[in-house]
Amino acid sequence: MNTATSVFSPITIEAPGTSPLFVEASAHPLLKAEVRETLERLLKLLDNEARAQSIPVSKSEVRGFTDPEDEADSLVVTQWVEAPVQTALTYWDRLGAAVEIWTNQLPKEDASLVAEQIAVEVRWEPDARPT
Amino acid sequence: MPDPLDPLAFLQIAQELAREKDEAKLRTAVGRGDYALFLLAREKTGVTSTRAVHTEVVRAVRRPSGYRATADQLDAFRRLRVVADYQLLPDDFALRDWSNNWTNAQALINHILPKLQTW
Repeated sequence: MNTATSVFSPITIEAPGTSPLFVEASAHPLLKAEVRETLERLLKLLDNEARAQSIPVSKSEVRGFTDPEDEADSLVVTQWVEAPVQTALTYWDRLGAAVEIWTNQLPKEDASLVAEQIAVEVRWEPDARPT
Repeated sequence: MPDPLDPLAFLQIAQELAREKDEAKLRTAVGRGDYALFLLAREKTGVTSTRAVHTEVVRAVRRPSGYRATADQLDAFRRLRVVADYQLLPDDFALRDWSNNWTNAQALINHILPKLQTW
């Protein structure tokens, strides 16, 4: 189990994956207890999906994002995959479907949190070879 | 009354700008690419709000079944555009190569566009 901590604040997220998890300081103000609990479950889902689809994950990140034009805050959960672009995008589509099914099973407040305030992102290593 | 602008006209401009591999032009190409997709998505979803409109459009794309990933990809493009427009030196080390950023932006455009067009 990975435990990501920061020297900047006592934020701790427990995630079950085998790749490192980094939580940036920008995410800290958004990580209230109820958000953290849902986020941990989402990270577990993402890890399970990567394994089920044999997609190697080099690291995961949680960041905060504020659009300077919208002044709206969101959390961004990123999986870095060792895969070429087309594989990564196809994987992202499948991940989206899995997140959607999972979200539909959550209590209303949690579902709303995942749908409106958490973005799921897949980024790929530019030189990765086909898996 | 003139016809409204087709948002995809911005994609043509983005591709022309990106040919020169100049950082300012590549950043502008990312911006035009994002606005092409954003405006198309706004038209398709019928979002009319003017407050937090970028966020509202992403949420509207996320709502129907089967579009979660498309919305997240559109949102990722928006974040790259914010870096292009606001961060003279990107905070994220992985986003400091603008040729690479444009290559990734193009991949996102090619992936997202057909899904928005068939909305």
